[in-house]
Formats: sequence, C-alpha cells, structure tokens
Amino acid sequence: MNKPDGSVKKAASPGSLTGAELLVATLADAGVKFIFMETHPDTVPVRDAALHRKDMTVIEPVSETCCVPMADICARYTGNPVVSLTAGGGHCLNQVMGMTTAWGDKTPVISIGIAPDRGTGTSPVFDRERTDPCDVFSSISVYRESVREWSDLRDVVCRGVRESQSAKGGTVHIEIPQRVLEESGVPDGFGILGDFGCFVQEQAPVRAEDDRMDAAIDMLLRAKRPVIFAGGGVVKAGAADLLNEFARKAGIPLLSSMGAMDLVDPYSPMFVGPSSYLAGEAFHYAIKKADVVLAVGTCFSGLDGFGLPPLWSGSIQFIQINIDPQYIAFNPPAALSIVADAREALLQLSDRLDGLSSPLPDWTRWTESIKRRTREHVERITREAARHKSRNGRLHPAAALLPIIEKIKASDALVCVDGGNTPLWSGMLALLKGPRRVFYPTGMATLGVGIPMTLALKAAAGKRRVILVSGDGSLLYNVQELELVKKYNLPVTVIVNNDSAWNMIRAGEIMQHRCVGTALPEQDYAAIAESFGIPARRISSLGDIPIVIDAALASDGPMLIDILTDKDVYPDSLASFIRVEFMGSLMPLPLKKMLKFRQNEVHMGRNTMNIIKYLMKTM
Amino acid sequence: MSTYLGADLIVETLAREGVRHVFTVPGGQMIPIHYAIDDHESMELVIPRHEGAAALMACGYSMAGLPSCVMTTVGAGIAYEAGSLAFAWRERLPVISIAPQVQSHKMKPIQENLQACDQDEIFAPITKFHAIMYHRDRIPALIRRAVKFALSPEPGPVHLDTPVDVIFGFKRVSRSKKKNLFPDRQFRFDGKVIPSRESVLNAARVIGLSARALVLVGRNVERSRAGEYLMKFLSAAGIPVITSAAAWSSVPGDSELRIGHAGLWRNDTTLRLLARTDTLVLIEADEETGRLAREIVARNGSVLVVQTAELASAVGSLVPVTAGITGSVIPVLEELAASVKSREGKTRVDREWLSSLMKAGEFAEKGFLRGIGPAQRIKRLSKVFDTINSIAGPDTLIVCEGSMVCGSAMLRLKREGLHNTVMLDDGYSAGAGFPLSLGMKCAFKNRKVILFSDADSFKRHSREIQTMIRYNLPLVIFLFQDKDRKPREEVDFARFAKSFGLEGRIITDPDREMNGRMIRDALESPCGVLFDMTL
Repeated sequence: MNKPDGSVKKAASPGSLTGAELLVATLADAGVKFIFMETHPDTVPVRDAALHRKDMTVIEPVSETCCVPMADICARYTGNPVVSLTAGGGHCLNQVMGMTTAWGDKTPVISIGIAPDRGTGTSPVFDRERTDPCDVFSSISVYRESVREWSDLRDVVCRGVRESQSAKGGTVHIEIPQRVLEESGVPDGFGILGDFGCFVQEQAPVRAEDDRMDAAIDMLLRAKRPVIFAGGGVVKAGAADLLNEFARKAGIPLLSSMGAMDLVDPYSPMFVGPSSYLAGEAFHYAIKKADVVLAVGTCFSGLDGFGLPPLWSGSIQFIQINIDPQYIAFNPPAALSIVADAREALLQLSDRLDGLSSPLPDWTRWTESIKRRTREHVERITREAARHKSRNGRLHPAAALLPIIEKIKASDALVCVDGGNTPLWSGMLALLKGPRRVFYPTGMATLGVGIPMTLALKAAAGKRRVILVSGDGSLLYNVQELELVKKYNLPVTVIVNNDSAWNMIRAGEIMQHRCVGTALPEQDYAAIAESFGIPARRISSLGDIPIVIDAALASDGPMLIDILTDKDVYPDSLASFIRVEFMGSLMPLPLKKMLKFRQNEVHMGRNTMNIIKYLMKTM
Repeated sequence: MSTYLGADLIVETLAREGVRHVFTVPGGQMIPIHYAIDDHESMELVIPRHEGAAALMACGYSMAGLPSCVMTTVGAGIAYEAGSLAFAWRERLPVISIAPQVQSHKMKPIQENLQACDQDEIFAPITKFHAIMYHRDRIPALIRRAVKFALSPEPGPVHLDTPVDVIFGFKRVSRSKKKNLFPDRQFRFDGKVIPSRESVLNAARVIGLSARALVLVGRNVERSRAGEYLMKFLSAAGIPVITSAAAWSSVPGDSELRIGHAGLWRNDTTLRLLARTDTLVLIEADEETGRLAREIVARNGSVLVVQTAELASAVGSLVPVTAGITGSVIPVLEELAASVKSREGKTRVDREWLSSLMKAGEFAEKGFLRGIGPAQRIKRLSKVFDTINSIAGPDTLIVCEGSMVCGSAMLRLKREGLHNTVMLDDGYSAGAGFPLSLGMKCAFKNRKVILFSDADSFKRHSREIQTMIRYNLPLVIFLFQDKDRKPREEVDFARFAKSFGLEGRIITDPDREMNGRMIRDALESPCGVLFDMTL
C-alpha cells in the first residue's frame, strides 16, 4: 500500500499483488472470462497475470482496432462483461470505432487503456500527447474514469463493471497508468484472492404494478389491430421464449426492433417478418394500421421509424414496458407506461391471459393480412432471383443466399452478418432463428467488423460452428485478422457476397441516375484467403453453392467462399431505409422520371419498378 | 440564378481554399458531395477501403504542405476515422475532416437514431476546431475558419459535421449573392510572423558567449520545411545538433554536426554528458526534444536556455528560458543565422567536449541498437539501408515505420537533401506508414516513394494495396518479418500482394538476394513492388 510520503513499496510481501494481478483478479471476480488484448509491451504485465488463471481466456488480435468489436460480440453472446485492453495514446484512441459500435448496441464492454506516463507540467508541447481518451469516449460510454493510484484500482474497475451492466448498460472506459500496474500492495480488508465477495450484484428483477398490468390486458382485449413490438430489452432479460409464447397464446402478431433482430422465431405462427423494415411492406402495413402496440424493452430507434408519424400511425395507443423509466415515451408517447423487467412483465401478462374467463378476441384476419404481405415479399424476391438473367454472368444475391440460408437453418451454427446490402438480403430472407444466433452491429451498422466478430464468437461458442456472411466492401476492413483464423485453424466459414461495389450506396446513386466512386475493383477474395493459408473457393454458378457449403460445413478448419454476384440488383426494401433515414431526401427524382429511366435501362428498370411498387405498398 | 446544394457549397469552398484531393469512403449521406467533387474541374476523389486509411492518406498528403481533406460518413465512418485523426492531432498535421450527420432535427440530444452519436464530441478533444454546420449559409465561413485554425501555429486537424438535410438542401443563388458567398478576398493570414530584433539579438548574444552549446530540433522545423535555414544557422554557429525522430530529416544524414537523434541520449550516462552543455538552444521543441531538455536542465540547473517557437505560449513552458524568440520558423532561423554570423568572436566551441560527445554518441548507438532488436536482424537491416544510400536520390521520399526499422534507419541512412524521410515510431500508434506513404505519393506524383515497415505494422492497412493499384500510386515496399515467427501462421505477403495485382517478392536471405539493381528496377516499376523480407 502507499507509504505516508506517497511512494509505493515495490517489494512483494505475503498476500501482496501487483496492479496487473489486482486488475485481473478483480475482473475475474466480476465474471469477466475473456480479455481481448493488444500485443504491446505495455499490456504484457496484464497478459502474464491473466494467463496464470484457468478461468480467463486471452486473445490477441493482429490489430488493436479489433479488440473492442471482439469483446462486443463476446459480451453479446455470453451476456457477461468482456474486456478490451490496449496500450495508451493512439493505440487506445483506435478503439473509437469499436466503442461507438458497442455503445450503439448497449453492450457491456469494459475498455481499458494502459496510459503511458504523460509527465508533469503544463507545456503546450505535451498537451496533445496527454489527450485523455476518457474525454474522447465521453459521449460513447456510460462511464469512464482514470485510475490514479494502486489503491483506487479495484474500486474503479468494480464501478466500471457495475455501470456497464446497469439498466441500459453499455461501454465503459478505464485508464490505468503503467506505473500502477507495476506497483504492489496488499488489498485492505479483502484478504486473499477469492475473498473479494461478489461486488457486482445481480439486478433484482423489477415487477410491474398489478393495476397497470390489468390495464394493459384490458387495452389489448379492446384492440382491433394489436401488435407486439419487442426490443433489445427482451433479449437482455432472456425473455425471448416467453415473448414468443405470449404472442402465440394471445394470437397477436409479433414484430421486433432492429436491436432484437433475431428475437422473433420465424416458425412462430405469430411471426410477421424479420425485424423492422427487413419485413418489407408487412412492417409498414402493420405499423400504419395498428391501433394498440405492446412495446416491450424498446425505445423506438431511428431504424424503427421512432414509433412516430409519418411511418407509424399517429393514433396508435402504445403500452410501453421498459426497465428504465427514462426510456419510456423516449420517442412516441405512452398511453400506458409500465416500469418492469421484460421477463417479469411477460410472466405477469401471461398469468393474466391464463386467468381470463372469456375467450380472447379473434385477430386471425388481422394477423393473416400482415403475414400475407410477408409471404408476398419473400415470394417476390425469390421469383425475381429465379428469373434473373445477368448481363455479366453474375448471380442474383438472393438466389445465391437462399441455398446458403437453408443450409444454415439446418445446422446449429451461429452467424455473423457484415455489410450494407448483404445484411438486408439476409434479413429479408429470414436468416433468423432465435435469440443470440445471428449477430450484426445494429446500432451503428458498422462495416468491417465481421471477421473479428466471427473470431470472438467462435472463441465464446465452444464447439458450435460460426459462419460469416459478408459483403465484399466490408470484408477488407479487417482482413488481417484472417491470420488469427489460420493460426488457430478455426472451423469458421466466411461467405462473401462479392458484387464489386459499395452497393447499398450505389443503389442510392442509381435512384439519381448517376454513380460516382461506388464501383470496386473486381477482386478475387479467394486468392486473398489463400495467401493466409485458408482454403477458398470462387463460385459463379448456382449449382456449386450447396456442394461447396456442405464441404465447408463439414471441414475441421476454415474456408472462404467468394460468390460473384450482380451489382445491378439491389433489395427493394432499401426504399424503406431511404424513407426512414433520409426522409426521402435521396429520392428527388419524381416517379415519372424513374419510369423514363426504366425505358432507357431495361435491366435497371426492373429494380426501379420494384422500388416503385414497393413504395406504393408501403405508403 | 444558380442552384446550390449544401454539398456544392462545401465543395466550392474547399476548392477555393486550395483543396485538390479529397480522401473519402462513400456513404449514402455523402452522395451529393461526391457528385459535386466529381463535377469540379480542379478536385479529385480518392477512395481507399477504410476510413482510417483515408484520414492517414490525408495526413501523408498534408505532410507535403498541401491543404488536405478527409470525408467519411456518419456514425461508423467517422468512428473509424477518429483513431487516425488522432494521429494528425499528435503529429500536428492540418487535416480538414468533414462528415455528414443525421438530420438536424434528430441530432443533439440523440434520439436513438441509426448511426447517430455525438460525433462532434468525439472529435472535440483531438481537433483544434470543431463545429456543426447547421445552416447552409454558414458553410463557407465555417470551412474557411476551420482551414485557418488547421493551418495556424501548432497546426492540427479540424472537424466539421453537416446534418444530412443541410447537405441535400438546395438554394437558388443570384450572381451577386454568389459573389457575397465567395468574395474575392483573403480569409486567413498567409504571411510569416517576424521575430522582434531585440529577442534575436539577445539570443545570439547568449549563444555567442557559449563554449558548449547544443541545439535540439523538433518537429515543426520539418513541417515548415526549414532544414535549409536550420543548416545555415548551425553552420554559422558551429553547434552540434540533436533532432527528434520527427525532425530527423531536417538535417542531412551525412552532416558532421549531427550527433544523433534524441532517442540515443536517454540513459543516465549520456544524459550526464549532455548536461555539461552551457547553452541549450531549443528550436521548435516537440515531445521528444522537450523531455530531453528537461532531463538536461534537471542535471544542470545553471545551463542557459534559448528557445524559439512559433507558438508564443510554448516559450518558457518546458524549462526556464534565458532568451526566448517567438516567430515563424524560417524568419527566426534566418535572422538568428545572420546575427550569430555577424557577432565578433562568434561561438567558441569546446572541441574536447564536442569530441567526447561524438564518442559518446557512437557508444550510445551500440546500446541503442541492442535495445531495438537482435544483432543479426539489425545487421541485415543496416545492409538494406546501406544499399539504399547509394540508390535513393535526394528527391526520393522514404517512410520508415516501427521502432527497429526507424532505429536502424536513423543510424544508417546517410542521405543527401532535406525533408525526404519520415520516421514513424510505433510508440503512439502503429500502422500509419502505408496509407501515409500513399498520401505522400498522391501529393508528389513525380517523386519515388519507398516504405520500410515492420510486417506487423503493415498488416493493419495492408488492404490498401488495392488503393495503390487502383489509383496508380506505385510504391516500393520493404516488409521486414521476424525470422523466428512460424511461417504457417503468417500471411504470405507476396501472394497477398499478387492477389491485388501487385508484384510481390520473397527475400529469405537479404545478404545474398538483395542488390542495388533489384531496388533500381523496383523504383522504375510502373505499379510498384513489395519485398517480403525475412530478417
């Protein structure tokens, strides 16, 4: 511990711990099982301390930029806080991408930076070197703090873990000076390791007020066109099964937000489409026609249209259930507000349904009217894909993805999705099967985190296979991490939807009849994978896809499959994206000009016509 | 009447501020900006595969002294960019960063919108100026102000956010109003700050009285491309010089006055010798020379200190100063050289001290080299640099990345000419070398650029080989791999390069396989060459 003069004794005494050992012990006590760490001399003391523990896994990506995205996916899969650890200065500031992504998804990631000794004095010469990462991360973290002394370390880390798991949770950043890791001391009052006790309390589930639950059931019973809209809070509370069961029991159609995109069981009879506008016109129809919406664990993000007009009907009565009162009526107003844990609330609602003396209203016609639109949307995409005749011999992305999705559905594999249009195609074709199966950085829609996320997911998922479905634009962002895939010979499959374009942006440009800078060179991604020693196949024929996928899924090691797809095809539900995100500002061309475009460019015209038809269905 | 979108105003203002290349990665919110750049006769888009690489390319471009601009898209785009802009912040590079934001009615406070975050707050601590261009009428003025801040003393990056509705919003503007938007006037001071005569004379007097003076040179001499003036001053005064790594190229590699770089003089023995100086001349101190100056003063409280800086508040902020000069680098050095020259008696150099410094420098080199890597690897690396010395002309730009590479290069490169070598130690961040070299090549199309990098640093932005081929920016790249690594666990760089269409060669025994002709041929290659070299 500190001497009276402020110096710290260095010599180890019985029971004494270095700062690095204390940090690792504290993290382990808080339930941290994974540390994604930059390989750097400053992180070595922590790595050495962590490697002594059997309950801690240390993974070192090639680039420090990947530490937080890897921790992010690991935390999302395991539900536990996960640590990213880097050196200080620019190394730490390279975490902005990962921190922003994890913050957008409210994932409990603890980012730790080992701060170099920045010296003393106030010379402007040192100002920039001394830039505090806590300041940079202030708007993208729920808590940040700099450790000053060895004696503060445990408290700061404990608080960081608690804050990361608070009601909404999220990212935390902690700066630890290098010298603190080297200093030693005996933890006061805690004795030997293991006597720390559990300092991160399990959050006691919050029950809803009974009279409000009665009122909620009452509103639902009186509704003519009710909808359940579920958000990430349901996944976080581990209540996905309960929700699906409640929707089935009540006979109410079920939609999810983007934050809970894999929440809804596609085989549930109440399933009306994948999350948000991935459901295409069904989603738009449902939120325009609904009169009562039971919103559980969601605050209605921009991707969900904010729960407000013009996308949502202005006359909807919202029943909003959220564990955090601040997020009730965050966007649309609430007719009935309920503060409760999603799981508890769903149990309470379920009990009330069971106790009803009279039969529930029959909402079959209403449900069927939405489901019909979902079916029609998928059928339309499938039809278009089947009759697609490319001018350059490339495949329709949906046609290429359909057999892959069937194979994935038949396995217990976990899936990461990366890209722009690729996640849209995947989502529209229902690449979804229960919570924590499909992972995508929903909040920030960050490109390029697919490979690191796949790696981390594989580390956390044990024997389950992990498949990455990626666009070509996104694949190269962190392609260096294929080195780790090879190093550990991980049985992961990387599927590349190679359309040689930044195609989501290009689609927006096509609506304006002009493309600038969105074409990508025709790249052989299989050759890139082979340069890492990873077996790879390049596919340009539909018939090869099932065979190659089977081989990849049966393989003990990694494989990359580069599928050549047509950039002149894009998903019609992009129009939803444009409506939601740009309020139509990307579509200044009037419909008749778009029709003229169709006459000039027959091939493009089919896409444009799909967009027009789609828009007419969604308005 | 002309119709202007917000995007057009952004691009027109940037063009009038001298921006010629915009480094960017596409985003839906930026489409009209890309259209406007594509339409503009004097501007060009350069689109790498990563926003961080775009910012680093802009950093390399700005090292050439040209106004440089990076544009990335909202949310994740800027998040990738921020880490690299932090490099510009630390390295004092005037990079203008512009990004879209979500619609103005959806930002601040955030509304859980897709990709929305308070991006201006992320950039605030790592930029000199940041603002949100809420209204299109303020676009020209805010961009001008940002450029002015970026270029003013202690240059650095600036960031401007533009809500997407402002980018897409259009306005009809008459000819007279257009003139008001873009008046033909100056919007920033483009002259030089001249030091006061008295301060220069005072400094020259202190230097003139010294017998064991020592000059420490920092980054801004390199940025101001003032090496020629520095050499005039050093020759006039006959004082030995130590540079920081960032200013390494401000003194010719073969100069007799150079007694190494600051990294050599970190241990107590060498510091005690340096502390025997009677006058320390700090020219544009940076972090490295600033620390060295403090160590020297801590060991010798009676040393007299002359400090020159463009930023007035830097003078006297490191150590107590006997004579301070504030002014732009070139006029300060010019006047100082003239004053020192005209002084009778000039500086009396203590030859004994000078020769002991030289000896200590040689000794320090050995210790330094032991600290940066195994002897065999250093030896091979040194041989590569020896070969380069005979090939690279004064115009050839060399970028070195990684502590071992830079450490060896700073001792072995003996180059003619000034401002032709960039040293990127991986202490602050790693991986900047390759995109930085591409940005420099973009600025200096007619000059040869060679990158020496350790393989681990290069991996971080290795994807940009595609950008190198796509935009015809031929570099000669030397990658150094650790022989002790397991080859099966490493990427095969030669094959990796070939998958992008770049010639890649594996060199397993540099002593036998490397020769001058091979490098000369590579420098003449129209597409560039990558050498994957095992040390």
